[in-house]
Amino acid sequence: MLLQSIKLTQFKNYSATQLQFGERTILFTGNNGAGKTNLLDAIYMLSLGKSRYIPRDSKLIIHGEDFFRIEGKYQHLSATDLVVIKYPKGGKKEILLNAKKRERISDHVGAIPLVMIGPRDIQLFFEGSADRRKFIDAGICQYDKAYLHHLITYNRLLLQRNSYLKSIKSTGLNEALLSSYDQQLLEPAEFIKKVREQFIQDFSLLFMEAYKSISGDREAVSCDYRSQLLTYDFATALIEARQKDMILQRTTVGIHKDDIIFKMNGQVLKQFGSEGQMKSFLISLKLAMKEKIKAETGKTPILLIDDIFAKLDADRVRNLLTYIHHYDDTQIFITDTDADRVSSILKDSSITHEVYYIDENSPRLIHENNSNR
Amino acid sequence: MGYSSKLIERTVEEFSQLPSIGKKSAFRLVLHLISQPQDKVKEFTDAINHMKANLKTCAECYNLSDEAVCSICKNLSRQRTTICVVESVRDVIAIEETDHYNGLYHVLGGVISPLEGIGADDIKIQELIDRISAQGVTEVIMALSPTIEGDTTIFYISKLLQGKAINITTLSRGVAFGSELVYTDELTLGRSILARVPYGQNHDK
Repeated sequence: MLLQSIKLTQFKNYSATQLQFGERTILFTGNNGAGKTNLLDAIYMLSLGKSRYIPRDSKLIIHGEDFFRIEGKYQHLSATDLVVIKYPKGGKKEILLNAKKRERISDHVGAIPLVMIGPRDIQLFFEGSADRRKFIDAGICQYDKAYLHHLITYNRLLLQRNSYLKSIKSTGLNEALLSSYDQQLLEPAEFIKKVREQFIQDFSLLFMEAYKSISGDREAVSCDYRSQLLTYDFATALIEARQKDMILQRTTVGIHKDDIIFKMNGQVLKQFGSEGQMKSFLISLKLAMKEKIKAETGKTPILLIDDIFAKLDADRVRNLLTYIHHYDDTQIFITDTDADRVSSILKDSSITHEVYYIDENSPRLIHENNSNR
Repeated sequence: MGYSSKLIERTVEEFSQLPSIGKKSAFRLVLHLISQPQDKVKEFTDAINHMKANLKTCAECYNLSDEAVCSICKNLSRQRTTICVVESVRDVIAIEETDHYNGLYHVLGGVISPLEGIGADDIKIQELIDRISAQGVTEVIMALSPTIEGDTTIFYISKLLQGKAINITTLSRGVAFGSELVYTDELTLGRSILARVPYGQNHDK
């Protein structure tokens, strides 16, 4: 997919801005707070229907106005796609693909595949397993609608089951009802486990390859799938955990406890990896995700790189940018406060690109063509 | 809105509490009533009061009824060995409209949803089980909405009926008649392929 142009109306700090993109590598530079990330967020929204950073849509409208609108024109092979997102304050958010309204936001996910790397993603290695599950789920959902459906079903059932477990104290146990929930959970859980297991298998290979290209094969890396369901029969596990579940008033077994273990040279990454190594690790995970989505959908996802080059040595940045540029037809949008850092690497590596300088006071975009042709 | 009369204002206020009636629609309805003769308006309010005061819930199926037992349950020409389980009174009307069902109904008054504080004992499930045993029912049709909560309710009821010689069926789920395949969502289409039926089985006889 190539984003050819974007038009923002009253979105974040952009009252009315239109940008055209002619290259596959686009750099947004400017001071902190100028609105670089807001541009990436708009591109993110066009693909995933929601902001990466701000959960409440009303907060995305420029202060004092009553709606925002984002429009993106994409090219895929010889076809063009027009995506529009509108949100009137107090109203309902709408997504239109080629002027046809999407019934649900989730229907749109996957139409314009996208992968984003941001500074907060490093939490993937430190926070609880929820972030890691979210990482793989967000990728799979871009190409597997059945997975998305089963995930929604599973999560809803889990909420109902936990809510029921809480009520047992006052109403007493209704065996038939609790086992109704157990039985309902089996099908989606089994489906999700199978998809995740297969996913990690394919993904690992892509990941190792990406890491090798970026780091120059310095460390051996891997990621493993962990699930209680790999070793236990879920139906039995639910029955065995029943007493515990009733005491804790929540469900203690299931695919909502799954995890992915990241390792470097055979050891768990978070315990000893340097910041540079972790960033390379993270970038490789995201690139592998991009490859996986591409293999599944036949569309090359757009890649957004938000301010992650600080504390990453120039070699790794160069490897990354040349790898992406020469490997395939991925379009990348990069933000960096240090305009020279990325720009000079791009020039040295003769990667044709565009630089947009984003002015602090008014988000005016100064177009500077740096193609080294 | 600046009404010239407090009497009008109050009536508009009452009307606008009805579902899908806003202030403007409410005002239009009130203006219409004002233009009507007094006895016509009295007929209108009497009808409402009379209905509210005398409406009952059927002791058998929990449908709304004028008498202790509703007209469907009393109708002897209906098949008494089949019960169609629905969530609400509106579903009864919808199925009656099809003219394709001649059994009895059972209105649960909701589906099981602990998240909303609705447990198995808060809806008419035990009443259904008692009725099935007492009346010699042979088929139970689960006509609940195809939601997670609807499914839980079906699962639960079928567990309670386990071991009894009762045929439990559910409404078939699939491609809507008159729709085009390309516009059917993947989930529905996928299910319809998996649950395909021999040709001729789902045609009107």
